[in-house]
Amino acid sequence: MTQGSPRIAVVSGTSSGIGAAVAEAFLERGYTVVGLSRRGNPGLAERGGYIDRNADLRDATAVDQAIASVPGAAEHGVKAVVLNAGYSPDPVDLPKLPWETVADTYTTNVATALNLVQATCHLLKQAGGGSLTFVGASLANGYRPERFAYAASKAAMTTLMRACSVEFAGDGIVSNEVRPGPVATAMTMAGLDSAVNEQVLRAINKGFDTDWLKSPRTVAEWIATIAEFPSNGPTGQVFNYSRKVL
Amino acid sequence: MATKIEQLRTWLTGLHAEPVTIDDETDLIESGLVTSLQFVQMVMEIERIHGDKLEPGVITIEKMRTLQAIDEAVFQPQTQAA
Repeated sequence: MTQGSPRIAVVSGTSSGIGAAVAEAFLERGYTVVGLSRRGNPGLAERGGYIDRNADLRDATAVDQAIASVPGAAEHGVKAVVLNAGYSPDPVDLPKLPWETVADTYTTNVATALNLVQATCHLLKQAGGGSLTFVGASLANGYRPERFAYAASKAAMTTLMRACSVEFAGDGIVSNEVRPGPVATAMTMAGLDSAVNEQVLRAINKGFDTDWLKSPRTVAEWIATIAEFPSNGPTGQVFNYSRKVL
Repeated sequence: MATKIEQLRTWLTGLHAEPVTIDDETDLIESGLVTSLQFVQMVMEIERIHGDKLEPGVITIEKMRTLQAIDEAVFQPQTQAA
C-alpha cells in the first residue's frame, strides 16, 4: 500500500445490527468499506465509500468472487476485516437439541468466518499488514446449556481467531476478538427495526440487575478501534465487554 | 374502546403464556413481568399506543416501573393537553 491510497475495510453481516454499525464507524474514519451480506444494505449503499456485495458467506467461491470484484482491493490490499456475520438459533434444552441444529449453526458461523479469512488474508498481506477482528460471544464459555449450539460455534471462532494470530504473526496481521455482551439488535430483540434510544438503554441498565445492555453504535466504535491496532499491537486476545460471567 | 393503559395492560399480559395479574401499582420490573429485553419492546408499544415518540425525559426507569407511573408520565399529559 502506498501513502494516500485508500484504506479498505471488509465487514461481514452488514445488512443490520452490529455489522451495519461497524460499517458506519469505518466510513466515518475515512475507510472504503466493503459490506458482505446475503440481503445487502440499501441504506448504506447510498453512502459514498460503501461497496455493497451480496454473497452467501457459507459459499467460499461466492466470497472469493465478491472480494475479487472490489475495485482497488487487489492493488491496495485490505487494512481491516471484521468477521461479524452470524446466526443464533433459539435456545433448546440440551437433551432435546437436534444435531442438525448444532451442525447448521457451526457451518453458518464458523465456515463463514473461515471463508472470509481465506478470501482476505492475501489482501491483508498486500496492504503490508492489518487486522482480523472477530465478533464473539461470552456464551462461548459454555455455561448456558440451552445455548450449546451457538456457544460451540462461537468457541470455535475464538480458536480460529487465535490460530490466525499465530498463522499471520509474521505478516503484520493482528487477530483479536470482541465479546460485546448484550447488544440491542434485531437478533437479540424481536421486533426491533431501528436503533435503540440510548435513554432506553440507560433506563434498562439502571433498573434491571442484568448485564450491561448497549447499542450497536457503542460496540461498533470499540470494534473499529480494536481493528486499528498497529501491526505490533496486541494479538490473539479476547476483549470482553460483558459485566457478568456467562 | 379500551383506554390506553388497558391496551398496555393487555399487551403486557400477552407476554406470558400463563395467566398473570397486573395491577396499576405492580412493579413490572421487580415482579419479573418485564425482562430487560422486553423493556425495549414495551417502550415501543407505549409509543405505538401513545401515537408518538416519547419525550426524552419520560424514558426513565422510575416513570416506566408501574402502569400507574406510565399513565401519569405518558398518557395523562396527552389527555390533558387535548
